[in-house]
Amino acid sequence: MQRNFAAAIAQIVVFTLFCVIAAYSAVQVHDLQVLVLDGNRRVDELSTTVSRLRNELETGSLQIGAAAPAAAGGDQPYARRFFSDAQWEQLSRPGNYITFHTDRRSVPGAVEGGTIHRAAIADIPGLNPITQNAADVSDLYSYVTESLATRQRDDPDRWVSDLATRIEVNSDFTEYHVYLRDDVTWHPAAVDLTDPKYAWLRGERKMVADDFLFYYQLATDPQVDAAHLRNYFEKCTGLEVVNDHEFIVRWSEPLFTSISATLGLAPVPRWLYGADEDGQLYDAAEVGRRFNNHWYNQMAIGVGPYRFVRWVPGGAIELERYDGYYGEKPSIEKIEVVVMGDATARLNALRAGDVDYISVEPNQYATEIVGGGTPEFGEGGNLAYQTYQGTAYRYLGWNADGKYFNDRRVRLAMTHAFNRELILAQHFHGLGRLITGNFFVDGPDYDQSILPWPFDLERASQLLTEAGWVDGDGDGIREKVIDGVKTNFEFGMVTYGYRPEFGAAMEHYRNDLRSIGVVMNIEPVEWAVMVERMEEKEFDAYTGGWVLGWESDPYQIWHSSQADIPRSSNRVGFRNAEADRIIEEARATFDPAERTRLFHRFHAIIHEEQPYTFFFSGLEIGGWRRWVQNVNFSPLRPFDQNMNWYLEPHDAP
Amino acid sequence: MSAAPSKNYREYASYWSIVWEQFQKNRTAYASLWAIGLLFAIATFAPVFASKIPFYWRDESGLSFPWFRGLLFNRNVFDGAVDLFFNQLLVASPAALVTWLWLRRRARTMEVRHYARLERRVLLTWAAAFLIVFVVISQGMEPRTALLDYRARSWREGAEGFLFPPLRISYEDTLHGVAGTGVRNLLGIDNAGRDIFVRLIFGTRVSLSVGVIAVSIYIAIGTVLGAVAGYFGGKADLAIQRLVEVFLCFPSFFLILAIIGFLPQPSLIAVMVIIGLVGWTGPARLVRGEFLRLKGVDFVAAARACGFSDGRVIFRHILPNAVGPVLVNATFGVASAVLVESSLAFLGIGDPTLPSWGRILAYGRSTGDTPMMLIAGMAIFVTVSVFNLAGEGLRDALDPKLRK
Repeated sequence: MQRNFAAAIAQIVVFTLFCVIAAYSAVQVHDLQVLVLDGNRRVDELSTTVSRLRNELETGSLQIGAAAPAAAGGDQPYARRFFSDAQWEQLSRPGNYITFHTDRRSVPGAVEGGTIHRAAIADIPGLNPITQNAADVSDLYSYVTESLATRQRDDPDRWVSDLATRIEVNSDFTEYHVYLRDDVTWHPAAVDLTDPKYAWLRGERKMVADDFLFYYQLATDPQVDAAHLRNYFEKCTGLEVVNDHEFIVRWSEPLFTSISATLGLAPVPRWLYGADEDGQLYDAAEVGRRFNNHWYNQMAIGVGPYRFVRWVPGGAIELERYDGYYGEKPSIEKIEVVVMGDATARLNALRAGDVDYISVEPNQYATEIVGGGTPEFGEGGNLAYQTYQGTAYRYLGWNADGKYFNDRRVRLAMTHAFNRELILAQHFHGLGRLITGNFFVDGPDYDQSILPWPFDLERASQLLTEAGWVDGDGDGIREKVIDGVKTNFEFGMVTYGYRPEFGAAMEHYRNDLRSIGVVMNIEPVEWAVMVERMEEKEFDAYTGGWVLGWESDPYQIWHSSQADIPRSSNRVGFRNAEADRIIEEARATFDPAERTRLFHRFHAIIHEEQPYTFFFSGLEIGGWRRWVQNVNFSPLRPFDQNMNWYLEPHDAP
Repeated sequence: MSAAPSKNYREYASYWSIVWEQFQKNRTAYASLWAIGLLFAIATFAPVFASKIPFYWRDESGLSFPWFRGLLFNRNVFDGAVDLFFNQLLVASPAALVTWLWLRRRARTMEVRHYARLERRVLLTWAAAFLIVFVVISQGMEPRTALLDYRARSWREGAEGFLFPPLRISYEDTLHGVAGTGVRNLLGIDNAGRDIFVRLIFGTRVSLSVGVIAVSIYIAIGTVLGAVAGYFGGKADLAIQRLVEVFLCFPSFFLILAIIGFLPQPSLIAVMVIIGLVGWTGPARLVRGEFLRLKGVDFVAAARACGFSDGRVIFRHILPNAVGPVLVNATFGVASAVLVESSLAFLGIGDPTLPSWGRILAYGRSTGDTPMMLIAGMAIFVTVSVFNLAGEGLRDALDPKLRK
């Protein structure tokens, strides 16, 4: 007992001593670390300053010893330096449909270099440039390749030159004469070029007119899985190559959508996709069939500012700045897109600095940013965020061919009974703008003067009564005699079952409808079932969404001819003679102002007829480390991939 | 009365009264049994605590009792079979109490044999009457009466007298922008604006009914198949045993998920039935084992010698003696069925409007509302635990070697 006691005391003393020594050495090490880190920081600051100075010198925003602007072409636009004299002459000669960039990829003071790590929600299904129409693939391709011309990212009404220097259009927009740049080179293929097997891929290749012809052939080849593209080229009669740098695109009838289809033409290399892995060219008849499962489908190639390096399925995609790019090069040297399926994991990776940019989920916005769950987003924290307008909108679709919603008054009553403002605020964290029509809310065709129908249950009741739906038997449910059968107003709302906020919103709507004598049964279904039921028109009502472009042709969704086609997009059966006339007229109208006027009228008709109860156009949220600088968002897809971002030097995690 | 031929009920120690005594000695199990009783009481009396409909209402058009009517005879208030069942239980509970008290009084004076018969008859009559009334009410009629917005009216002119339940909230109410609920939401509201506390107590109904009904289904199937296999043996046994093996080789939860995948819109009843169809293998094997053991015992041979039919031997003579292990299995089964239902609801399967605990948990998770998750999780945990503890107590009480 005695010995045990003594031993215990000795043990405790030794242990305490040990702890003290350990703590002391830990403090020492920490002090040392702090010193080293401080030294590192100073070195970083110095290199930042140097690179900023160099950048300013290069871009001409800083002159040493001279107050006057740079000698050569002082009042020339900034974009001039990326064109040769001949190209510039071609571009600026009158009669050109496109013009030059006024935005810049390197802002004054931008730091050169670095790798940006971005988190992706899901892995991409593949990288075939034609058959893959998933949004994340096309977002990725916006780094890798370019088209003839684009809408300027900060000014979408402006078509600016990318691969074409000049596009001449005839008076009724049926013939486009395209003049290409002659200094565009293809990226090297993303294979091991030292391998003798790939010897045939070595060497630099120029982009030529035939690459566009190849794109057009693939997009219109029935053997290629590209139904989504064939739609755009339905009225295109062909593409004729004049020489390596000129071609002509012809359309059979004047359509305003031909502008974006033609100007959006992107090159696809025949020397790569037209050949098998050993460099043997396929037979012309075989190309389309082989293309769907081409050996290069796990890789990407292009002519853009970044070149594809590798894709590790399920892991990451790596891109690197392409040195042979003809235009202004972006500041960031490498892009790494890391797949992280779980939203919490994405946010944690951002907090840890493993990734630099993520898109924040609405729920996370509510709890982590507004709710303060992640204090780093606050004042003085090292994370920043911003909301930006997405192009998708949400709506409730009413089956006008069914027995409940064939009357405009009933649909209007449904809209009046839907407390959109409250539901948007409560269930969607206010991340959206209420809309009244089918066009992109920030686009030119959307008429801002049309205001949403207000939430008004009394007006809704009145409209239902006018439409003949009354509660005659006192059971609290409205009914109407349809074809001799007394029918209760009890309809099903098909919703995508795995989105809790939609379930919650419909729950709220259900109670409001119940109070005016309408029974709504919520039918949550899986996505596959939902698509099937929408296409087969097996629904009374459903919750849906569309993703829009800057301008869109309402034909596919709203023209009455589409209402009778099976599996069409006019699922609700909208038929309106005046709307049809406007759609047809607008398709052949090339004056933007006139088209806008027509579409405003169309918007008004949609607002009156309420084929949908338009809900809201969602805001999206980007979150980033503060060391990512000059983060700005574009009103166009991909919203969060502007190339003028740059990285402050920082410690790699 | 001086020469009573046999003891009365109180002094007679049947097998089940010994088991009951043993059970009571296990404190945890006994407390769990009370907790189960409490859960059933909460489920039954939930509308007494929370409803947006007042017990009585008086205004210029007279006196009405919307709450009492709403329990069973107004589908605008309660629409689901589960709710109707528990509401009927609520309505019948006073009469059941009276019957029970009457039976207890009779037990003091009656002979055991007569009392046992009386008790059985009363019980059967009650069950049959209850089920018939339930089927008639829930399937045979669809009474609806228009509802006033009593909650809003109670604040305005015109309401002369009314009495609401303590919480003026129904479980499907979305409360964003609703005035007049009278109380604060005890545990807050979920993402659809529904009161979590009210959903929690009504969730008891969902969980308990799924547990009890699913288990009843599979006990019934399993007992019959097990009895047939054990009693007849031979080819029947072979066939049933192979069937059991086939069912056992699928993990039951995935089997349930797979079956539910075929239903476009699985209702709560479907969930109950599917759990019931999948779980019968356990009791089937237990019952088979018991039958194999009892088949050769003297009393069975005696019954057979009397020329009783197979059915009578199985159901009247062997089964009552084989029921112990099955009962234990059933108690554990309820716990696991509650868990399965919660898991399915958590995964978003089933009627989205039902206040299932699993769904509350899922909403809590998807909206990052930790207290909500904890509360729903606790409810599931407590229910599963008390059923498991009671099952364990019953198992020990049935074991003669563990008698105290």
